[in-house]
Amino acid sequence: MADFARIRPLFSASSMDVAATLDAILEHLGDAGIGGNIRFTLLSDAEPQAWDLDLRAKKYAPVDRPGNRKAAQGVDLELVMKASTWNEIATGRLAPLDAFGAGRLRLRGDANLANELYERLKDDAGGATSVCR
Amino acid sequence: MVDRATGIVEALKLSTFRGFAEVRRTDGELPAVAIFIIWFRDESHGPAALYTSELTTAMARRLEVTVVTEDDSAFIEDLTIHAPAGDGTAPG
Repeated sequence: MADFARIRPLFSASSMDVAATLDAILEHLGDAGIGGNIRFTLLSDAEPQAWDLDLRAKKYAPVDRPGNRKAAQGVDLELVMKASTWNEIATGRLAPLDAFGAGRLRLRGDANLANELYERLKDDAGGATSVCR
Repeated sequence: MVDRATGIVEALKLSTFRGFAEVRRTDGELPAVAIFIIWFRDESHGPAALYTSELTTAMARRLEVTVVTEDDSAFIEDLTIHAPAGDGTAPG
């Protein structure tokens, strides 16, 4: 099995700026034609924070009450991880599939959307973006 | 912290490299489909062969399962297979 692909760095700052990473995702995708609503739920010692990224409308927003079921209506894919894990992924230091396989990332919803997004964001060094083919 | 998901097994994806279970949740949580890891590479968080066997039975019989994971992990830590809903009569 080949090494898993990392994604191209979405930001380089040492401090976590979730909005900046979501901006970078939208910028990298450009007009790739991918649609779907993706929720990033980031866990920490404090209250979890969540952001919804709407790929079709090219916008994102923090979620007021991530635990509220109604708030999850319309979410196609949810990625749940610690904020520190997202920091490693977004800076290109950790491959998302390595995070998943290490028990540091949970995925709910449309796995095909996750694969498509991963394929579009992978860095130029190559590597696998799926374990199901 | 742990996460608990109850639903119906829709698919098992098995190879020497990985074992995944796809579960459609019936507990009202969204998104409705969740992917769980039985094993990945040489790592599992429980008896992978038993998990696979029980999940296969649950899928074949459409039994509800409850899967427990750490809240940021897809590895199955605990698995419950629920008996089919009966008609209330004692077995004869």
